[in-house]
Amino acid sequence: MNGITETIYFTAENAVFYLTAGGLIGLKAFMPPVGKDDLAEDGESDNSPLWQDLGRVFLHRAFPYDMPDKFISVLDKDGKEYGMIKDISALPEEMAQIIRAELKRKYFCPVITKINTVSAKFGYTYWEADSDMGKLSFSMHDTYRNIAKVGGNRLILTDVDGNRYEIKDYLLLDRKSFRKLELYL
Amino acid sequence: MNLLKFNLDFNNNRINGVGEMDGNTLCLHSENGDIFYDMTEFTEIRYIPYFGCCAIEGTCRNGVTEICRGDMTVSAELQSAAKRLTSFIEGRGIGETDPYTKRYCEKCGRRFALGSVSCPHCVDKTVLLRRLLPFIKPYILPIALSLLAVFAISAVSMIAPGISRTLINDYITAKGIDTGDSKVFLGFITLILAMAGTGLLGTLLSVLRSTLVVKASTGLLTDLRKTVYDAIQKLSLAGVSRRTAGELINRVTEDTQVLRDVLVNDLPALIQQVIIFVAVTVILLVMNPMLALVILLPVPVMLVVFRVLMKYTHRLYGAQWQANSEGGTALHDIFSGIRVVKVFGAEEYEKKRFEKAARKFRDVSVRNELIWNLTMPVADFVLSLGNYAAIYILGSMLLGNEIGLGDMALVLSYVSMIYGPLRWMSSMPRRLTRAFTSMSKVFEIIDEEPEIYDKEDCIEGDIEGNISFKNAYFGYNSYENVLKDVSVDINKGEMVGIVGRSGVGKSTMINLIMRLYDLTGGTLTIDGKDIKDYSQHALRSRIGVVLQETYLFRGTVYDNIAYAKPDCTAEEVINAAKLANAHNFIMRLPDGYNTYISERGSSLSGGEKQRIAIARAVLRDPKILILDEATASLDTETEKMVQDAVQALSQNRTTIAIAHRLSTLRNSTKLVVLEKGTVEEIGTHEELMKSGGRYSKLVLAQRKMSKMQ
Repeated sequence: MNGITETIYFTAENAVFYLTAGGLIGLKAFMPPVGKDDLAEDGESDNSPLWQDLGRVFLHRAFPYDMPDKFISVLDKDGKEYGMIKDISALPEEMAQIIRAELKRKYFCPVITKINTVSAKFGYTYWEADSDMGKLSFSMHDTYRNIAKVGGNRLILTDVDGNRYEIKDYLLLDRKSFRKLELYL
Repeated sequence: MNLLKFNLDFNNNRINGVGEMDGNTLCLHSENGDIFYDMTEFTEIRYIPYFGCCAIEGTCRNGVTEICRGDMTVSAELQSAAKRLTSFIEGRGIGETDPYTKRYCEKCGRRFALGSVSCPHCVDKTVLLRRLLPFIKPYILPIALSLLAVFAISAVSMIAPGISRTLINDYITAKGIDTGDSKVFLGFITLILAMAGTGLLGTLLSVLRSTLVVKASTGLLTDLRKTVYDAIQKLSLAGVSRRTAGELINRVTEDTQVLRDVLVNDLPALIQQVIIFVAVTVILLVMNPMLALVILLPVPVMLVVFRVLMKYTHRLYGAQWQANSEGGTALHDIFSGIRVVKVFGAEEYEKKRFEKAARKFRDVSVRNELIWNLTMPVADFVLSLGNYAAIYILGSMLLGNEIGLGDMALVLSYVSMIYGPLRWMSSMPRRLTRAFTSMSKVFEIIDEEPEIYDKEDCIEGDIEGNISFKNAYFGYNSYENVLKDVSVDINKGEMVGIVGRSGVGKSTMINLIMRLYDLTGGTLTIDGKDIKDYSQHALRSRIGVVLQETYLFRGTVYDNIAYAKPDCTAEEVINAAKLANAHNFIMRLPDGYNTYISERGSSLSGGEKQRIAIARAVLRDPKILILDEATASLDTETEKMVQDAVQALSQNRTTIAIAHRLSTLRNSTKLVVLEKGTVEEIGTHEELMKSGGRYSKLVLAQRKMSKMQ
């Protein structure tokens, strides 16, 4: 049962992140053989690490709010973890870029810069706002519970569809925007 | 054929795109140009949920390609499209659009939450009110009578000042009347008696009104609650589990209460206040238009002040309500997890957490109350300005002998009668907002179509217990199939074990047999007839279920076992308990079968609860017995006894068991091994051990584990 808490951390020495033909992120890694099945009989399997092309992989942030660039989990398509990237910036620039681009594709979260109107009706709130992705118009239900404070003055708003919007620092919003938001904090 | 909408490009930039199927070709059109995919080249289509966005990916010879992506607004469309494309490449045709994908209002374009059927922004208030009328109908007589009483009370309260005017003018301030004259004295007494009479009449009418209202309102509340409760019971499991228990409880208890309050208290009160206001205004205008205008002058000022105040405090009240409910939630959380709190010694932490919630409530309330308490006295003073003006005018007239003291008293009491309704009505908007919110919530539940329903001519009769899955597909959400192309025949009297790792779809198969969900593809038949042809009640009454997590209701041991068959005899209950190996431990309890089980059975051990649940399941003598990890929490010895019982029980009935401990399933006549939602192996224990597949590996692994112990 040893190895269960042992995490493989991918570094420049044991991993190469590359772009697949489809423009998605792939990984070649030097690690113990990735079993097709978890029921391999003991004894016959040789667990010494070797270079393998794992093909397309998925990334998932372990601490999306606290440390967006650290502790990135690398997963297969069924969500099984191959290993983790401890710090993106410690990787060679070329690989770091590929990883950052993939993360940008995975985490879609427009940043709200100004709130134009908020109207409330029957337990819903309707928002019109400006963001780095242009004008936003969305509905929120159960508004208080769907505005999450994530460390400091950062807010994540989740609308009825599950879209996420970020407010970097609500105290830095202009006064009018803040007034509209204030009651839901 | 139009298939999908997407709104992001590969790098998450906003675009507007549509996709359509043209024969075998998927054509995507957007600002970035047109893209064509030959769908026959793909071997797999997947919907990938990301964070705030999602995508459809396809696997072909060259690897994985992203076909299109969008934010969560189009996720339902993309899920449905991925499902249809999968069906297409698997040769089952492109299929129909999912009917449950509409999440936006066709009128205003605003989006609403999953589970809602109507746009809360566009909902017509009058329609809502009209829908309440059928609920009022049975109580129309008491409500009408109480309204009449309201009219009468208003009239009486209007007469009273008139009497006192006569009293003051004709007797108290009258000069030169002979107090010794019996006629004068009689008139004097009559007036006082009349005043007492109107007082008495008013009181009697109020009592009558309250009695009528109490009767009507409790009846109405019961009706409303019953309707909402029935509606919730009719929802499918999916419809119920979409909402939290707390939310559903709220709808049954609080929302209905708000509606009741509006119907029987607020609306009649509003009518009464309006009547008084209008009547008094008219009387004053007739008496002295000039005076009336002076009195009414502060009214618009008041209204404006209230309006401004309302707008601000309305939202503050919302915040206050929210803070209050947050405190409640924190408490609920702490108390239901009290064991964890104690075990980890986290009392201090939880205390702080609750304090924080309480402090937030305090801060909001202070702010709110402060605003009201600062403005209300001022507003009252503004109102009383009209009063002072009236006193000045009346006083001058009195001094000029134009009117008597009685007239002055009359007008002054009318003035106070005018301001009362105004103050009352100022809180009306808030009450109405609350009422309409509750109303829309209640009707949302009532209007929701159950996803699983009985056919008109459904079969009510008995079943034999032959179950057959044919190319069955099922997924809890529309983009991911939990079961894929499952074909299994389970014959009457068989004992079938379902094996596989967690999350592989074992419990899902059982949920389908109980028809808690309907298949998304393929067929499931019972005795050769589609499961949808049976009435849900008839079907489930022939199935006995023991789940891993037993739920015991508050009541006695007897009540809990007899739950499955309320008309059973004591002998049957004892027999069932013996079969489940529960009788012995029940008899060791001081109160035997009458032992009261406290909430969730916390006074019993896991194994004891489990055996009561098994007794409950076998009491029905079901044709299909389902054991979902039923013996997982029993010790090996007890499990052996329960197994023997199950073995004895499985004569003449179909038994389906799920177990991680494979030794439990050894007696099965058939084992079904699931892997990734498909059937990997089927056979008896011996056959599967010989074939050396997944099952034999699992058995070997478990044997090794038990040797280690």
